[in-house]
Amino acid sequence: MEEIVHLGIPFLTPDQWDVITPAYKDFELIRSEGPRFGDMFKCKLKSTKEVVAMKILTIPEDQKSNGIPYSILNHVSILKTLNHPNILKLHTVLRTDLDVEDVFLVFEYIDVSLKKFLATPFPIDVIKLGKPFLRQALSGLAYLHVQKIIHRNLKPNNILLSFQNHEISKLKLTDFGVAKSIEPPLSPYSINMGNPCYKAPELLLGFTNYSTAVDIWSMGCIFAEMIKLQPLFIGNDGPKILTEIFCLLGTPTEENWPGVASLCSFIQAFDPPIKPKDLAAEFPKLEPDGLDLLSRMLCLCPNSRISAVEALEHPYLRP
Amino acid sequence: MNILCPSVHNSEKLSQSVKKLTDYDDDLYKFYYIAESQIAANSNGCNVDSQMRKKVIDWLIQKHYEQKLNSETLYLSINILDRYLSKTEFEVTTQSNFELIGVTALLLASKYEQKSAVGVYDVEYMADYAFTPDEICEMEKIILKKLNWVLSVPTTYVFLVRNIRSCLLPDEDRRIMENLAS
Repeated sequence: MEEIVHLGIPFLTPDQWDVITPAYKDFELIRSEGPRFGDMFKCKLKSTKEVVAMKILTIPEDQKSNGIPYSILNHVSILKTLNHPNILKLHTVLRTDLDVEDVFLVFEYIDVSLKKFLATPFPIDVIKLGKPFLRQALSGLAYLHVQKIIHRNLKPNNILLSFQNHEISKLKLTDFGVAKSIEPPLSPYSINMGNPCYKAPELLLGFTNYSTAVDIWSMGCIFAEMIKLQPLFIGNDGPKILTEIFCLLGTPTEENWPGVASLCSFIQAFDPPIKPKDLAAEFPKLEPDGLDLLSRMLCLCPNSRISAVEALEHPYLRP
Repeated sequence: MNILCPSVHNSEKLSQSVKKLTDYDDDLYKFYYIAESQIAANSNGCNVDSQMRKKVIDWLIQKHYEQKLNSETLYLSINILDRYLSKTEFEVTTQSNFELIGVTALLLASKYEQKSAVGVYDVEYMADYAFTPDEICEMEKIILKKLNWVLSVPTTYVFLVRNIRSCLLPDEDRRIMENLAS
């Protein structure tokens, strides 16, 4: 299953080459996410021949006078505290020379992201692999949520998989660039990050007091995408996605989401309210237990949505 | 453990509307408790002049108050300061060096905790222009390296908040308590 798209040699400045070439070789770009989040490339440690993934975080020119910006502090600090088999492990942070302003993150290397798998002509057999996939992904999420860290940017791109004998041997969550560690007196948080297709309805409606439930929604969307082989909700902006969500799950009412009508006027545009569709007809391949879990993960009201720990206890995932 | 983390089930009953927010509370505090014991500052490093530490912390509290920063920021900056001191190999001998570490810890903490963080220039002003921006940035890198980039730590504040919360005080009293405690 070696199907990595070869993107060539990563673009690095001479300074960056000077820092990494003494210890690393064989550079190869593996994923490119635009300048803000930094490219990820794989390379080999010269001493042990170990293959690792490296990501370079650059400090924007206009923020250099202010030392290391918040985004990098937050990103690295969160990564440093994480240690779980289902989370991509950060080996080291290179900051060798005080003259070079960038931060070099060295991760363990896992070959393929879920996104690439979904795009291959022989995609994952969900009936067989859905359970181990969800179990591993949710135990990674439960670990994060117990520490009150919200990932906020879960999408197929950020789930790495490696296979052995056609079974998932490793699943790793990655990209904690916009993750947030929340502390008990919850304060409002920014709602502008992440891909809208995997955003929870409370985020799309503009609630700033969200919690760990937003990640469960994203995971539900990803699980559904694995079955349908296309994103569950498609659209470029919030209102379009919300409309898609309501078309599938019905508009939220005061009964299933107390307080929603008073907090958001957007849903009053849906008059008469849309009735929820039958999920069983939408996902004919999925067994009843799986449907039940999916519907709980895609519950509109964040307070009634299943938590990662509860989901791991669900009959569908029980071994 | 029980003394540190009294059960919050009563307060959870009070706030059914925010149930989800406290879902992981017990687990979270267990985790905080373990994490704190692993990361706590210790006296393994070089000697720290306790009088000097006291003076610098008093000075930081004053600066923190003048700038109207969050209380989390203060707790985290003292945590950073102490952890740095317990890892440093050289004794910090002069008050001015101590202050440089202190304001840089405050800078890092405010960047980490606050939406509108103070910048290097604010810190320079706070310290009465005793240090140049370059010195502060350099110190920032040194501290981060020493602390291994770990900034998301449970500070005294998180335990304090929980203990106050589990007292089930009305909002008004709680605010007074929080002010008193900080």
